[in-house]
Amino acid sequence: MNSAFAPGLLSRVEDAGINASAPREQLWVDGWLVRFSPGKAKRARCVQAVAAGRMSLDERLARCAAIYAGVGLPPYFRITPFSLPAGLDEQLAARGMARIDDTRVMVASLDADTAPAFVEEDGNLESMSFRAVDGDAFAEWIGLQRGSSAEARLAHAERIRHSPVRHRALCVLDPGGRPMAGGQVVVEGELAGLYDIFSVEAMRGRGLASALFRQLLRLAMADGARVAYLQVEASNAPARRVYERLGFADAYAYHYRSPPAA
Amino acid sequence: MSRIFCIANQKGGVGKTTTTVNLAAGLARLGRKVLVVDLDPQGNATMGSGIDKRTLDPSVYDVLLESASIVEARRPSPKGGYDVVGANRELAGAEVELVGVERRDRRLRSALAAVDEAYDFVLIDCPPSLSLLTLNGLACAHGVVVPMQCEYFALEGLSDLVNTIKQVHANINPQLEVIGILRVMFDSRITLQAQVSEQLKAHFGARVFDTVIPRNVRLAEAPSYGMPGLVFDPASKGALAFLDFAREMAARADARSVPA
Repeated sequence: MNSAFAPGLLSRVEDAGINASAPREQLWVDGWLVRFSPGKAKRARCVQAVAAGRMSLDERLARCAAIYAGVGLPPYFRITPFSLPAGLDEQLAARGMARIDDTRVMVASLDADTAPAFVEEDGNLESMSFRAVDGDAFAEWIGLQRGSSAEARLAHAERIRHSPVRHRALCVLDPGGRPMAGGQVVVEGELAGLYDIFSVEAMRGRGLASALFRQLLRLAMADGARVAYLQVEASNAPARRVYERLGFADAYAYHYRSPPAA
Repeated sequence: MSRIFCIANQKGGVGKTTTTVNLAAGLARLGRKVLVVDLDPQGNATMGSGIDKRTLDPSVYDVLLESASIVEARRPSPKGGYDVVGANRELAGAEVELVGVERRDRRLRSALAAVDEAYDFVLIDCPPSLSLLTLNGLACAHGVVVPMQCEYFALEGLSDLVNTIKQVHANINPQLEVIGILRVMFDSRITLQAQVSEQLKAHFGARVFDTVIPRNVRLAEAPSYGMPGLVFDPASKGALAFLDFAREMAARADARSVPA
């Protein structure tokens, strides 16, 4: 954890990230939030180990395994600095579960005084046409871009539609009205999470995603957000550099534990 | 929560509808969700958004008479990127039919409450009169945007509108205020226009928007194609000015929505 951020802030960021990805398909198991949405996003189909619980670890794991077996999904565990009980990651490793998807949570202040780079006008914006799109249309579009199955696209749309926190999806349109890039911002109180920032392959390297990103942050600030967060794969160095230039800093890391290969 | 603005001026032909549809298209281009309510029986904002006023069923008339909801009456502007509750000549009848019914000046306010979460901005194109229709608009708005040509008689009509706004503020809607005066169809080469523009700034100070909309033929041509000028020719001087104006409006509205 980056000690430059108040730990209280980062645990709220962690909660906001969990809230922003809430699927309808979830059950509490002794203090763990067990999620089993059939969508693509792992955060909506994994165990969020948020409390220490009362059962033995083996008993809890068995109950989680039974839920995932019942819906035909592999059990993933999301491991953050806030995961409980202490030592869970080592326990899962000892059971042969592999560490995958090393991810960074990056955080930036949106206070106008602390001068985020993105609120400055950028010339690029002049020629760009943004469009608010509804959740169903966004899930369908981004799912197709990523090659997600129809079931996964539908699950994403369902998750957005029934989310306890408001999602705003935005696209950058070409002159013919077709989306060239898109993304979502989810505002909960003073926290804004950025999700699904994506540019169409042929349009990359033109600053579309970063202009979109800035516009999403402006919308979030209009909705009252003061702090922005995002999750990015540790191996995605180009994206992390862009986010750093926009004022984001690594706040904490998380990864998943995946079941042993059969 | 929606920010609701009336585009109003008692004079006709000052650019109310052009302001409404282009501001709507500009805010939509910034990624905001926008609803236009056409309160003018001429239906120009409806047609100018690419929606045939002859095919409306239901229209804003039905909303005012409470026989349809906003959700039932709204239609997407095909090119504008915003939604429209349209109007046509039928609306002129509402004026008469509403006389004598209760809450007659608050019908639109009740109807809009149901879509408060769905839109960032609601823009109401008011007719060029201080009628019951305009009153319905003023009763639900947070602010009034007054498009003005910088001409000799422009200030005269303004005092009547300002008095009406004061009365609505005192009796029906305490949050109502003049957000700003927008100088439209502006030609800085005409000395009189520059003088009136200075007078406006001296009199209304910060309530005069920084953005000035120039006289521009592309803005004038756009309605016949059923599009806001900002969509019809996005590179034209008029379109760029309206995009600037959308940014200025968004910034002013955002500043207000932040609790002090």
